[in-house]
Amino acid sequence: MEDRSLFLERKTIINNAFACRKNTRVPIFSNFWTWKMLDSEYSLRETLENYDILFRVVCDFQERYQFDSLFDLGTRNPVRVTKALGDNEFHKIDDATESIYVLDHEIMSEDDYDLFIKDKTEFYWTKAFARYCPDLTIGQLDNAIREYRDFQKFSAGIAKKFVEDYQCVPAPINYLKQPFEYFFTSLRGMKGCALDLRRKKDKVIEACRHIYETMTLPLLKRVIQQDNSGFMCDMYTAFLGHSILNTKQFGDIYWPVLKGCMDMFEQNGKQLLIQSESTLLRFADFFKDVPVGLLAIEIEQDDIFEMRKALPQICFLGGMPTYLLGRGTPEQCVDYTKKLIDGMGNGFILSQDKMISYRKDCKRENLLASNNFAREYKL
Amino acid sequence: MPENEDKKVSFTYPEGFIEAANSLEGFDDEESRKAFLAGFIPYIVMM
Repeated sequence: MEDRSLFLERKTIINNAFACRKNTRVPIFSNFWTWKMLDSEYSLRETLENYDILFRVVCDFQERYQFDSLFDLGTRNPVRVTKALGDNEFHKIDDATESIYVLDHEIMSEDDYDLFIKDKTEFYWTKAFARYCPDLTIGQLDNAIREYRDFQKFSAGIAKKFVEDYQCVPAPINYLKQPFEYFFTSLRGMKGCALDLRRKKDKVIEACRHIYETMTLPLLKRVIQQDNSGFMCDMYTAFLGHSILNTKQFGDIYWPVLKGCMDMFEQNGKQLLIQSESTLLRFADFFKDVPVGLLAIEIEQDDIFEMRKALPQICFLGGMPTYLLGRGTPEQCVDYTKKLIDGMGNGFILSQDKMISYRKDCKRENLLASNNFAREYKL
Repeated sequence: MPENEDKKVSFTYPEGFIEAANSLEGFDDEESRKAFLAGFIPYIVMM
């Protein structure tokens, strides 16, 4: 019979962390993204454009650092799919800086909110997609869909490898895209959203409510029926657009969706993971009544010890600073890892304080030192 | 590849949308082509 003891141990310590229970050791969670590819013998472009290489690179990464769970398995940037749609200025691999950059862009005008609410298929076809790839041919579209299917095969294969061979606990498969993020990260862009919040806040709220009712609620109803015990938790969501909101705007636009989700999850014994870019501490009061065991938050720019003080009932992921992983020594990294584990107490999953994407974000020997220490350090 | 592979996509709705959907290979019927395309576009522009 197959030995699944490592998976069960990992799942148990992650469950303990979510529930803020005493653990045997701290779980280690990867917030590494394109850095995985830079930590290989291949270029970023070679890796992203060849699924055989990508598969090997992601596997090498896990075999080297042995994370308990990972956000990304090389599936964040399906560049072959977007490239098949023709050249656009939105996503570019920059060979010189070894990075992928995404330009702030608008593929929705400030006058398109009503069409978005009335008929999303018409909106995406005539407005968003037309602006995204205006010179698209039938052949390119067909080819992009073939690429998409190849990408899905890669995604399924690498996910299977990580569960079956490496016995990692998969990150949640269900993703709640916050309604405001549709506009902030994709359709209106940062600048467009910032202007809309001042010029037509009511329309933004109306569109967000429409998404909540037509897309978010059906998703939540499906999730509460599922058995997601084989995953880290039931669902995750990413916070990006909150970075341009003040407290009142957060309360009007962001919080109602999150509160609706958390209430439904609490009633049904489900768990949510928030990946929060930028800072969250200024919104901590919103979370003070969230019950133990419902929520884990991966934080980036906040001081994780301040977050622990502000919200003692919530599990936090993060803490390991890129300034140490990238520029410190292995000894400094071990010292800080110990400080994090000792200082955070129960309800802590060791991770990194940003999405690690650039070569100088981390040195191999530093990550090895931090992870090896955390794996052996008994609580 | 589709016969009209070099033809530019028309972003009219519903005519251009249906024409593009019907050009796609590997689907059983028009409804499944349209449903796939309607889901694929938001996915791709949100990447």
